[in-house]
Amino acid sequence: MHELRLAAERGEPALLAAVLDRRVEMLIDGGGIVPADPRPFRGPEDVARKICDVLEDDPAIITEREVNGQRGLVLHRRGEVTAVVCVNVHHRHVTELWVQLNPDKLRQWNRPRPTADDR
Amino acid sequence: MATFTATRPRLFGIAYRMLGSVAEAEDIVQETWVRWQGTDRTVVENPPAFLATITTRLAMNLAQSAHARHETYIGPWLPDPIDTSADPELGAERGEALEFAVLLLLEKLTPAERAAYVLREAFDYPYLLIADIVQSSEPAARKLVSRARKHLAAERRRPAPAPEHRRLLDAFLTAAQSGDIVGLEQLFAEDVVSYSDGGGVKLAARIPVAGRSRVAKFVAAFSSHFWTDVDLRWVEANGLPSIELSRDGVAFTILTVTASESGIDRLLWLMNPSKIRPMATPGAL
Repeated sequence: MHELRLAAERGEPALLAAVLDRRVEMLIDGGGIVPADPRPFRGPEDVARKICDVLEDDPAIITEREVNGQRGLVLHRRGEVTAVVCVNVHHRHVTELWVQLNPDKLRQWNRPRPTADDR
Repeated sequence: MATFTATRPRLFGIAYRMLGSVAEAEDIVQETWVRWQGTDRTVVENPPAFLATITTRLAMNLAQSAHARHETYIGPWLPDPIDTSADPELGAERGEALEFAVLLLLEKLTPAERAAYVLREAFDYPYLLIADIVQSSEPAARKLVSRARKHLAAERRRPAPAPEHRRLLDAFLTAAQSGDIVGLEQLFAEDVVSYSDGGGVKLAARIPVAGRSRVAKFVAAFSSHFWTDVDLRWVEANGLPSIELSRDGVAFTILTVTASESGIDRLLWLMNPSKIRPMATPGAL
């Protein structure tokens, strides 16, 4: 996970592809609000290239978080969370990346933490 | 009020798992609160179960219409991600029903199946209570849960397509011949099993070997001698690409694998001479 983040930060597709499983799949949800490819990306090369392209065009601060009880990455841009990535790891390789870009679905990542009371 | 507050995380957990949406789950919890306000609580025997019933039924209703909405959604629909490091409470109950892969599969089930699965798997509700919540009988509730489990298992184990299957077998041969344990493990599903059918004749493991690392070690252990001077030939066995191993022109093993999306899940070593004979030189065995 750590390696995935470092590789993404370096923006080097080959480095990134090395931590991806050969059957890796990446799905992106833009909800029609944020431009996103409707089809999944498959294979380490395509997935790595896509990630590096996006980060090169619009750099982000990447932090590691636990997302839905699994490992995940959070991308911050201009002080806001613009993407949350949930990652499935199988034998030290990333097999699935689910990328949530839809701002409506990221709202709780951009609001102050609710206290125990509101939950 | 205290009862509701204490039950609230649970209610949110149920609705979120059923719908994959934070906003919808929050609306449902809110609506549950409103209904709880209008309830004569002196007649409610078990408030947490009562609240879970309201929430689940509301979520089932919404799930019905959510399905149609997801169909017209632009691009792939994914659940709202949840920050479980900041909100450990949500993941504290059983985690599996929270994973993205599971939420995506749940979305394909009927609302009743989803409800029954979530209540059972994530929260360990007794079947009798689940039956009451989804308004059916206890056997029917059991059936809902088992059907949901089956759907999930089947989806997670879609068989690998033929070219992928062939590629896996090919990669397996390379790793097996070089005794590459790590390489082997990467090709295997977690619960891979290796079966050898030696018919009691050949030096075959009589007991199946199971588990990723054990099978990898098992295969790697005989890498040195087993493959020496062996000719490999692609054949088809049971409609699956397989490998015939022969030495000095004599076939001695047919290797077939089955594979799903999670990798090779079965290795079948057919070493029984009587079963190989048709493909081998007559009399040579």
